[in-house]
Amino acid sequence: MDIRSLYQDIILDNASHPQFQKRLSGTRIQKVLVNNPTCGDRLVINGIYQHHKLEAIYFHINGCIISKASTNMMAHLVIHHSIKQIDDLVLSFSKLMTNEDFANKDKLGDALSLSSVAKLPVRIKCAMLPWKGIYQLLHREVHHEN
Amino acid sequence: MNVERIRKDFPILQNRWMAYLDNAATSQKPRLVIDAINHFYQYQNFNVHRSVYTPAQQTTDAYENVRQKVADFIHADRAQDIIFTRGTTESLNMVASDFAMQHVHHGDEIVVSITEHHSNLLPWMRVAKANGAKLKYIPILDDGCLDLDAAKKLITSKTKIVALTAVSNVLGTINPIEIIGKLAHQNGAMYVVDAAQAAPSIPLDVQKFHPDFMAFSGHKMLGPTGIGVLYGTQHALKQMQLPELGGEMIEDVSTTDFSTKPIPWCFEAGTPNIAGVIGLGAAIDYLNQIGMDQIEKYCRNLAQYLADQLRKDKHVIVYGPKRRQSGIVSFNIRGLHAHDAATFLDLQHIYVRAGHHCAEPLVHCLGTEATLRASLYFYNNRNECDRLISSVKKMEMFFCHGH
Ligand SMILES: Cc1ncc(COP(=O)(O)O)c(C=O)c1O
Repeated sequence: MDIRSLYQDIILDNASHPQFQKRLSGTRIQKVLVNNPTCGDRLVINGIYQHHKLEAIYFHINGCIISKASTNMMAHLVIHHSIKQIDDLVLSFSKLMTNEDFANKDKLGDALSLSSVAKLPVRIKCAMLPWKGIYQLLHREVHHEN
Repeated sequence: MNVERIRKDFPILQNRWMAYLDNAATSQKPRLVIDAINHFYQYQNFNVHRSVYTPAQQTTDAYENVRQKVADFIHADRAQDIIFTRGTTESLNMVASDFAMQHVHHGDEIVVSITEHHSNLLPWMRVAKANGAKLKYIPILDDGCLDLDAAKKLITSKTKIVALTAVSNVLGTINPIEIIGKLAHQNGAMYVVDAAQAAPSIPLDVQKFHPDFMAFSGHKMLGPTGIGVLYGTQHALKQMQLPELGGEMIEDVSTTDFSTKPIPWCFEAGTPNIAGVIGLGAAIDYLNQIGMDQIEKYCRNLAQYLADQLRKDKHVIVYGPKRRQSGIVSFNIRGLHAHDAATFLDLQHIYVRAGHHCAEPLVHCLGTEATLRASLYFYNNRNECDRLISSVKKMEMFFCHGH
């Protein structure tokens, strides 16, 4: 595999220019910390889910380019969406990582550029980290509400 | 030492694409070792210590000969000081669970160093937590070497165990195992040495540093996986409880009681990893043939070359002392995560490790979350180092200056 197909400009850009860096305020903030024990990657995600959608998101990440880029892309994709829509994105992204087919590929937007990661099994967990994080963040809260 | 000739002995190194620089994780195996294991399964596969027919006795003899070979390799007094285990991790856990758990009490102290691999740290953490003892860390100096002054203050009459790695798997430093051994014994503590990285890379003479227990793994010293060694003095082993009971380790069994075989056989319950032992014996033969002094010198010089070249690059941070002590060189490229660097190298078939190397407290103490680690062995050459160095330059161009 060519290094450029893995580290495309769009990935390098997302990694080096993270958005959603403004800390959230309010009382309904949900927080999650996920990490990759083998890499030492650590990701904190904060979110505010109300009115049936993710209204705000903030993240802080210590990690590699793949995990940083994937996090920024994930944040862009999930904001203003409902749990159901986000779950569908999480599932689609994980299918991208395992090379499985899924409907409406375009919904993953920039994150489609991470498809080469599927060819590097050792790095899949880097790309998956934020998706695992957002899933945990939302589902833990739903659990609380029940 | 003729490295090009040596390389021919290793089937996997015939793959010219590959630069295998992850020897601290596991070493490659020479044909001699692979053949010995093959030969064992084809012609010698009989159980040890229980069968009465002749070939089985020959297998038992071969198995026991390796015990003597291991004893000679580390200059132990007798073969009975050697127990075969699955590896360093199992050996150290045995000492912690079956010796320290019974002998370390509330208020006692266990001293380790900040350079420990998790395998020589977590077992002690558990003993300390379970028994109300305190775990103390010998720090390192700025250059990565062990802080001896601190060690002198930390090791006191309260210390019951001093557990130290002989060679750091991250910094490549050789710890002052003789001095620390003396400090431990002067204070009445038991001395446990993790020789996982030392056994493959430096001559080990237990008569010089007097460990009570010492652990190492076959797979890091040309041998197969799943075989390792726990060395213990007879005095120390007598105080260790039996980790497992069952076949092979008993003398007599009645319906109400049993008596056990002498040390070391009482510590090897069940059918052991016979092929592993045979393979380890062949590995030691190979190492002896080259000579541990030669191996140490060669790896240190090659690592010095690599570290010097890397240090010339102002984007590279090399961890550990300026004068290299073993074949291990950990480094980082400023502004680039070790995993991205390792993937870049992977795509060029250069295999290094990236991460915390099972020594998280140390890597954090170096002020980072992950490092790259090239670990060289005696079959590596300058050409492989040069490939790594030039890839590091290419990588900087690619990631840091656009492409
Ligand atoms: C210093 C040190 N101690 C212990 C170990 C554990 O060895 P093993 O995984 O063979 O049990 C290693 C290997 O990674 C090591 O480098």
